Amino acid sequence: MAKGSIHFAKKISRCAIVLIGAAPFLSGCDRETQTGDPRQLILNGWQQFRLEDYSASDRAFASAIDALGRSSLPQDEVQRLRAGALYGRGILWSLRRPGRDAARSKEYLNAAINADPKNEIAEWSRAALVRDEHFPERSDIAIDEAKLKTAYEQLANSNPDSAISGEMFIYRQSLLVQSLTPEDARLAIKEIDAYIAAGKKYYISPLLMLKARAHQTLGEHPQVLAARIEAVKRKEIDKDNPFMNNAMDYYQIALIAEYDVGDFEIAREYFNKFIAEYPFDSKAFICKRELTRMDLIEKAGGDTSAGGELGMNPPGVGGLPGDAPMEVAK
Amino acid sequence: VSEEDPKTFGEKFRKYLPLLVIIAAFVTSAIMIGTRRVETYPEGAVIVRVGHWQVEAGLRETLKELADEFVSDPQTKARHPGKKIVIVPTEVPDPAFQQWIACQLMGGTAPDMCEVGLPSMPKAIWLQYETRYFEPLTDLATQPNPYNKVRDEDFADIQARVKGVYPNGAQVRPFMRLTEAQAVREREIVKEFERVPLSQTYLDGMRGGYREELQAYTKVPLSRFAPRIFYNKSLYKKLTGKDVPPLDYREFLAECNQFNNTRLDNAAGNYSAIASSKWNTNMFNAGMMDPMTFAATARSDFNRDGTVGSDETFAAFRSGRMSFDSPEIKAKFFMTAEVQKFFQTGYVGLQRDEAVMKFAKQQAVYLSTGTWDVGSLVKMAEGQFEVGIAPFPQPSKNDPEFGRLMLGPYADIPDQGFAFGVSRFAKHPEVAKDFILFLASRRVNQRLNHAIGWLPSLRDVALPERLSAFASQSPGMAMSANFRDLGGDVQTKFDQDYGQFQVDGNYRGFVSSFEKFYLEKGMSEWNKQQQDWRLAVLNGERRLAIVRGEALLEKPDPDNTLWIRYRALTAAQQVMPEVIRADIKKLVTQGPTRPVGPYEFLPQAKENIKKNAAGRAAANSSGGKQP
Repeated sequence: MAKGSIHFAKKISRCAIVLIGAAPFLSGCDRETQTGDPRQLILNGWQQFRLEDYSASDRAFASAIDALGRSSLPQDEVQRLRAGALYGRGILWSLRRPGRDAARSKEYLNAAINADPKNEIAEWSRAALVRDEHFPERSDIAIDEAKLKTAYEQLANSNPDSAISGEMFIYRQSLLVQSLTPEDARLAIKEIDAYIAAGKKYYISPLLMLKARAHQTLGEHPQVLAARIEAVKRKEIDKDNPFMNNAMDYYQIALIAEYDVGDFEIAREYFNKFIAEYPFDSKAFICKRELTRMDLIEKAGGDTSAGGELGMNPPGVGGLPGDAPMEVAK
Repeated sequence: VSEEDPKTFGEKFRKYLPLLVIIAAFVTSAIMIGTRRVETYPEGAVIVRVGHWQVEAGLRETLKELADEFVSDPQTKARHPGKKIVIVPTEVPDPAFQQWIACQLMGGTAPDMCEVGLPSMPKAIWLQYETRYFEPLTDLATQPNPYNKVRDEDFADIQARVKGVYPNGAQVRPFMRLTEAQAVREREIVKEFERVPLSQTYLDGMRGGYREELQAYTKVPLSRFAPRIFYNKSLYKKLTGKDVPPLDYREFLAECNQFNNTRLDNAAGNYSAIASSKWNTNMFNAGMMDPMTFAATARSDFNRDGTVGSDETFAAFRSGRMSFDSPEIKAKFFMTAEVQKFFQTGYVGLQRDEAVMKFAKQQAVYLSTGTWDVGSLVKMAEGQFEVGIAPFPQPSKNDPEFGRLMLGPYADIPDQGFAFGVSRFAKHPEVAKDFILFLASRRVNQRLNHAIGWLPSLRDVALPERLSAFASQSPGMAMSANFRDLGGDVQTKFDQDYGQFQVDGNYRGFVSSFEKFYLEKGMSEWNKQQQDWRLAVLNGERRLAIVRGEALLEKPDPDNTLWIRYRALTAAQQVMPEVIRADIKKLVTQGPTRPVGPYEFLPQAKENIKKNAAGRAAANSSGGKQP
């Protein structure tokens, strides 16, 4: 009886091993055939992409393309969704790590462009083809900035009033400004001024921030201040984001006005705005100190050493020559 | 194992005994679990499981009580008609929570509601979890909380707090009493909370629940926490004859010295003025030692964001603007050496719980920990001694060594915590979300936190009695030198050398061992950090692609909220960080280009200030007319 039960147990174990071994194939077969509403399948594709399950994401996009072949939706909707699914696959193969496949990504993105060349998705696909160059296989591979700047410029000019154009334009300006060279800084200022003068509406505030940084490279502090003030005025606020406020802008504008330009009026205005709007931000304490210090400096006829003990660099502090080394108890 | 078949009953019994035991254990467990479930959950019940790591005293009972109240709340019944809701909390202590939550999330068996943000887990891991496994809660945060709907009882409660007696005859505790004027304001707040979105019922727009990387709320915080000094009030009085410890640093040291020299009858060996551990020293650092470095770090806040990163500290050291000879840096270590003399011997090798136990056994007068431990400490001290709470003592302006370094108090702004999210595996996400809203409603959040002794997360809510005097929300200095976070090797070296300093208090020894390594190795560590950073930009690009891909399925309207959010995300995560990084790269590799510190006047600014002052003086002398 004991022998019989051992044999039975062995049989059960073998069956279990076979079933466990076959499970991935069985589940894989099941997963290959995703069906349903093409739109929902595309959303599933993005959802799986968010979960970094790239295989499932690719299958969902592919299933959406299959489903569209059998769909009774209007032709233009089928085209739009097909382009959307191809775009999803293109992005997936461009941004997945490990397993990036630039050639495959290019193939899908080009197919998305051909599926509906006039659709917005075609434009985003063109943008993705350029953006892919910004993210090489590994982070230690240098990017070809000159090539990227030209490519962003071409895309920005191809449909100049669109939001995509704005995005490509700001990527180009970002590359110019981050080189930190005076030549690129001047070019960025010129291009940003022209963009704003042309009445474009997207990314104005961050572009003004970039312009301010370019002026900083050139040591033009009053222009830095002016650009920062304009940037905060034209900021797009997402009211649902509690971190998106003007606290840092006010703080930095006030410091630029005080320490770089010497315009206490503007410095006061922005320190006061900070204290009024963000009384519980830790920096409100520094704002109050700086306000008091500016009063003391003005009372002393503009002597900036006045009220030094209230500033952030009080006299006698800061590893100055002559500071006796402090002995620590052993 | 013998290959021969057993012949006798005894042999067979011995051979199959282990198998029988296993089968018996399995059957018993199955029966127990089965019957327990049958007993606990009524048929057809909607079971909402809640996972968290809080084991502090009073929490379990309070949560159970509030869960029962939630189920019978008229608002819940109206929102989930006919449902038999059962809330099942699961406590997993924090040492095991990391493994537990990983298994639950990856296995798809996570509770409906999970506490999010265990501090001992890397932030990047939580970001991954929140991205993959948690429902966005932005809809909850941007709508009024239905459980803040005004009820008649709310006004009756306010009236009772004015009169001093609740309708059930219970006396109102003094800290809950209201004047008529306060009652008017209280009524306004109650009405306001009914109207405004949940996020606006928090002091800071519920930042503690928001994930900037995802541009979404993923959790709802229910409490706030801050480090404080706790003291044994009874013992303190016995030793000093006073009730309240000093606020002055020197007086604090003098008293600690006196305590260390006193052997008490009830302190069985190892008596020390302060109970501490490696973890508890962080509390002292934040409240007492870091403020010493404010002046030095103000010279290294190169990007003027009000904080100092590890890269800024490194750049300041590399360029010689700061060094281990800077008085501020020395002062921080000096103060550490002075204070740690009053910790128990070997505290560096001890865990947090061991410090708490020492305090509970009355073997120390002081303990520094967070307000989350209030309830547990009071419970442990019950019937033995009274627990007091005090702010951190600070050097006075006249202090001979540290006074001139005191630019101001440290920013005492409690952090939000005890935050819950809803997992994507939730079987009843709508009920779970409602339970979170219930706990985040004004009246319930107040009760929850009063029962545990924590700070409520909402604004305009009465604080628990014990913390009411010490729950300041005061701005101050928030900067300090940051050596550790530059990279793994620097972190390990710092921890080793700082650990040695904690043992021997030898600052020169620390400097001679760490400084050279820091300056030489720091650059390659920073370069490694750059590669991680590029990966973060790639992750940002992925998140952006998802927002875009989903938005493209809708009717594309560049002016709608989704696209505004998309552009904000693009600028915040993909554009500006690249420029800031270029700045930092230049700063680290070439040193600061600004001839003076970030909080010092440029020559042109000085000229303008003088010119403006002269202009004003001239205007004053000419009767107010500008020349």
